[in-house]
Amino acid sequence: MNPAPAYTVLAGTLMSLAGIHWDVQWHVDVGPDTFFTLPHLMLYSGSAIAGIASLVMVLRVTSAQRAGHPADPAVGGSPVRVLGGRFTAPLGYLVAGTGAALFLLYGLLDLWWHSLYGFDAVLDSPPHVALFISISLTMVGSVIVFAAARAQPWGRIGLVAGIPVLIMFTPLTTNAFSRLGLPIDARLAGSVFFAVCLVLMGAITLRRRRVALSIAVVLGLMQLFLWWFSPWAARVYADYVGLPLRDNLVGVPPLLPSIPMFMLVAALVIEGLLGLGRRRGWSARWLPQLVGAAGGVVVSLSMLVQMSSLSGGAGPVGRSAASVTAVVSDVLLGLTLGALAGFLAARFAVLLHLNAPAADQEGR
Amino acid sequence: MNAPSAARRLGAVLAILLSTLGLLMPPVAEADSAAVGDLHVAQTLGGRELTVILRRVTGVPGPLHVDVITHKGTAAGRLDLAVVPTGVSTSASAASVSGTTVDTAAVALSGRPGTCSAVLDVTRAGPWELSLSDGNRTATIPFIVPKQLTSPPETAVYLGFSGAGVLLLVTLLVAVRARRGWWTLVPGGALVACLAVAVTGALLSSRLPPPPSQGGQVDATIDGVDDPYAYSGQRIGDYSRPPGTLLLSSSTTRAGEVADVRLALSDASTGLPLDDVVVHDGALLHLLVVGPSGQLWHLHPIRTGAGVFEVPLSLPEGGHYAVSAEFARRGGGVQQLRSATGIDAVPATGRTTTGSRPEVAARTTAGDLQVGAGARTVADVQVRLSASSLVAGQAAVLSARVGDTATLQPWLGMLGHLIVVGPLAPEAAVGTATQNAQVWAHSHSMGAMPDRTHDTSGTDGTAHAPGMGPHSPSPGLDPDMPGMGGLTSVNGDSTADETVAAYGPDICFVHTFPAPGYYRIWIQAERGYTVLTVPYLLHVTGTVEKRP
Amino acid sequence: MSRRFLVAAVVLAATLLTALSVHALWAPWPGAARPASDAPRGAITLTGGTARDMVILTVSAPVTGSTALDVRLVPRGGTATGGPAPVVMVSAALPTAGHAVPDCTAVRAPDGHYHVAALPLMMPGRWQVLVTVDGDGHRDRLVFPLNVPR
Repeated sequence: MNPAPAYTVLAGTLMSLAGIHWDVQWHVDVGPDTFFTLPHLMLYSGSAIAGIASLVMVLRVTSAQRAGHPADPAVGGSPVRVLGGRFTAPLGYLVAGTGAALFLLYGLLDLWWHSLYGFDAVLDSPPHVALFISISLTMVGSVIVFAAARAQPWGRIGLVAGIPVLIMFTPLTTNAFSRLGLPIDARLAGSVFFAVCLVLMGAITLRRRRVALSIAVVLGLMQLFLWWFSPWAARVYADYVGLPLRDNLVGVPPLLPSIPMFMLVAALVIEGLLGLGRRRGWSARWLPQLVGAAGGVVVSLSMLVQMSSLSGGAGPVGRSAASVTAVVSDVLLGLTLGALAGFLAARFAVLLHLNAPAADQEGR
Repeated sequence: MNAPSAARRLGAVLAILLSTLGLLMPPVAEADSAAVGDLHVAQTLGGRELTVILRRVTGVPGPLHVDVITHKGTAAGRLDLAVVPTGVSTSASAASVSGTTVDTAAVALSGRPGTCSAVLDVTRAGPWELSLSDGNRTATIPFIVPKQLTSPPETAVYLGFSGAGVLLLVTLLVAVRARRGWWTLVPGGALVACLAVAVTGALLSSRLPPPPSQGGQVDATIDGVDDPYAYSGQRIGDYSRPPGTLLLSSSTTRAGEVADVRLALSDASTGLPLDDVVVHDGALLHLLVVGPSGQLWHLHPIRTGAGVFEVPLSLPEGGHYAVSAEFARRGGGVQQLRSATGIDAVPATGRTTTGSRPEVAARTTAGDLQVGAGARTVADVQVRLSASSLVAGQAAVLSARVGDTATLQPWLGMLGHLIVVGPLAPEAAVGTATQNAQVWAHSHSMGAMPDRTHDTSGTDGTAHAPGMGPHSPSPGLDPDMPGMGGLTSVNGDSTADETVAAYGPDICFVHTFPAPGYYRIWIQAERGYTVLTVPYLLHVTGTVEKRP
Repeated sequence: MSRRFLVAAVVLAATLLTALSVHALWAPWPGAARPASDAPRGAITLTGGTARDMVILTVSAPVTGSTALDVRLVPRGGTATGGPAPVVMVSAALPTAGHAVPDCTAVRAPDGHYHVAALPLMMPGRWQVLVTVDGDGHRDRLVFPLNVPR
C-alpha cells in the first residue's frame, strides 16, 4: 500500500492550516487585500492538492474495480457507493475530496460576500465559516484515511499528525459562535471539547501507549512552527510586494491564543488515567468519560492561564482571569464538555474501527 | 486508468502548481489609498474655518459619516448638509436621481473646538457632492463614493477555483459511474485547466496595473466607478491637464469691511471654467494672502459653482495684498497661481493706515521682526526656530519647537506648513514686496528630522533655549520615524485627523533658497485647535559671501 | 443511458464553465452599453440630471469625426412648467489636450428633445460633452464624460 496519496492529503491540509494563519496574520499586520494574495493562494492550493490527491485515489480504486479487483477497506476506509454508482469509492478520500471541492466552491460565495460588504468582512462571516467547515471536512477525511491504515506504521504516524491539524483548525470554526452571545465562551468551549475529544479518539483508535502524548507533542510543534512562521511570512511577503506593515503591531499571532498550548499536560493526564484504568480493569463504559472530564478540566484551566498571559490580564470573555467564579465556571465547563468529549471519542473510535475492520487484528 | 498514470497525473498537477509559484517575480502592489481613505477638506465657510471629514463609505447603500471639526473661536451655530449624486450613466435608472438632493442632515456647532458629526445616506457608488450651508453661503464638495472592486484576474481566480471544485465532484461522480475509465479524463483535464487559470490569475493579480482612478485621474461616471476596469478607456501614461488661470472678482476693496473675494478658475487652454479641482493637501483650494504689514492668511475658499470659489476677507488696513492660490486638477499636478493684480485696499475713512494694529495673532508688522530665527510667542505658545545653513542653493534646515509638549495636531494632513516669500527688501511694505517677489514657496513638515539632534547654533545662532539641548527629544522611540505614526496612509487606512493631538513639538523644514537676500517666512502649526502663524525674517547669504 | 447522461452532464459543465470564464475575463468595451431604442446603431446614451430635469444625451457616433447629438429633457415634476422652453447649448472639450469645440445651440424638437446636427470631435480621448440648460431663471451646466475610443 502506497502512503503517498494519504500524505499528500495531509500535506494539503497542512498547507491550508499554515495558509490561514499566514492570511490572518497578514490582515492584522498589513491590512485589507487589494489583490489575491499568496496566503490565499496557499489556502486554496492546499485544498486543491488535498482534493486532487483524494480524486486520484478514488480513480485508482474505481479503475481497480473495473479491472475486477475488490475494494480494500484499508485503502482510505470502507467502500461507499455514491449516488447509485456502478463502483465504490473509499470513504476517507470521498470525504476529503468532497470537503476540498466544497471549499473551492465556497470561495465564489466568499467573493460575492466581499463584493457586497467590502474588505472589512470579519473572520466569522458565513462564507468564511462555510470555508472553515469544508477544510475541516477534508481534515476529517484524512483522519479517516489514516485510521483505516492503522495497521501500517505510516497510517499510525499519519493519524498522530493528522489529528493535531484538526485540533489546530477547530477554534476558527467555533469562533463563529462567539457572536451569538452564549453564556459560555464558544472558543474556549470549542478548544476544550475538540482537543480532548480528538486526542482521546486517537488514543482509543490506536490502542497504544503514548499516542495521546505524541499527538500533544505534534500539536505543540505545529504551534511553535506557526508562532514563528506566520509573522515571518507576513513580513517577508509585505516586503516582497512593497506594502508597509501597520505600526501598532502586537507580538502574538492572532489565531494561536485560542489553541491549547499546554496540551502536553492534559495528554499526560489522559495517558496516565487511560493506562491506570486499563491496568485496573475499570469499566470501559465509564473510562472514556472519566478520562475526558479530567482532560477537559486540565485544558480548561490551562486555557485560563494561557489566555490571561497572552491577552494581558483579561480572560477570554473579558472577565478578570483570577476571579474565583472564572475558575469555578471553567472547571465546570471542562468537566462537562470533557466528559461529553470522552463519551463521543470512544464512539468515534468505534466508527473508525468499523470503517476498516480487516486491519483491526494487526492493529492491536 | 491505472495506478501509475494516476500518480503521474498527480505529479504533473503538483509540478504545474510549483512551477507557477516559481515564476513569481516581485510584483508592485498598489493600494489605491485615495479611493478608500477618509477625505479631509478644509473649508472657510463665512467666518468659520472648518475641517470637513468625509469618512470612508464601506458599502452602498449605506451611511456617510461626516465629521466637522471646529477650531478655537469658531462661532456656534447650525450647518445644513446635503448629498447630491452628480454622476452620469448609460443606465437611466442608475442616474435617475442625479442632480437631486438624496439626503439632508443638520450639524449643531457647539462653539467649543472639536468634532460635530452627522450621518447621511448615500444610495449608490459614483460621483457625489456634499453641500454645507450656514444659511448665507453654501459650499459644495465633490467626492466619490467608491465601490468594492474585484479585479478581472481576481475574478478569474475565484471562478477557476470554484470551477475546479465543481469538476472535482463531477470527476468523482464520473469515476464511480462510468464503465470506461477514460471518461474521467474529460472532467479531470478540465479540472487541471481550471486550476491553471486560478493560479495564473492569483499570481498576476498583484502585478497588473490598476485602472485610472475615477475622479482622480479621469472624470468619474457612475459606470466608471461601478466598474473602472470596463470603463478604463485608453491606457495613457499622462492624465495631466493644462494649467489654470486665476481671476479675482475685484482688485480693490475697502479696508476694515468684510468683502467676498471671488476667485474664478479657468482652463488656460480652452478658457472654459476649471471645474475639475480635486482635494489636495486637505483642501480644494489653498488661498494665501499676504498683507502690507506682514499678515498672512491661509484660507480655504468654498466652491460655489463651476470653477468658482469664494471667501470672505476683511482686510484690516489700506495697502496692497498679494494673493496666490494652490490647487490640483484632476489628472495630477499641483499648481500655484499668483494673482497678477492682488488686492488693493483703500484705507477706511477716519482711520490711519499705520496706526491700526488689529489684535490678531500672526499679524505682525515689519518693524516687529528681527532678522533671523529665535523665539516668538503667538497665542500664548512659545515657538523657537533655529535655522542652519541659510545659504542660497544649499538645503537650509529650519527646525521649530512649537510649545513644549507633543500635542501638535495635524492641520491639512501635515504637522507644519512653511510659507516662504522673497527675496525682498526687509523694510518694504510686505504685500507689495510679495507681489513682486520671485519666490513664493509652500513647504511642509512631517515632524522632526530623524537622527539629528536639535541644531540650535545655526548660522543665525540665536537662542539656546532650555529644553533644546543636544539630546534627542524622544530617545526611546524609533529614531527613523519620530512621531509620524498615523500621518501617512498605510494600505488604505485613513490618516489621523486634527483630533489626534499627539505630535511634535519639533517640526522641521528643509528648503533650498534659490537666491540670496531677505526672505519672509511664516510657520504654521496647530495646537489646541488654534492654527498658529509665526512670522520670521531670514537673511540668506550667497555662496560667494562665504569665501574669505 | 447512463453514458448519455454522463456525456450531457460533462458537456453542460464544460459549457457553463467556459461561459463563466469568458464572462469574467472579457471586459466589455466602454461603448458597448445598450443605446436607447430610438437611437442609431453604435450610439451611446448617457443620463445625467439637475435638480429640475433629467437630462438624457445621445451621441450618435462616439468616434472621431462629427457626430449628431440629441439632448432630451425630462422635467422632474412630471410635466414641464408653462413657461418658455429652456435653451440648450452643447459644447465639448478634451481636457487633457486642451481642445474645445464651438458652442452649438441645440434645435428644439417635440417631446423635450433638442438636436445638434454636427459636433466635431477631432481626436480620440476622454472628452467632456458640456450641456448648458438655460431656462426658468436657472442656468444648469452638466458635464457628460465621453470616451471616444478611435
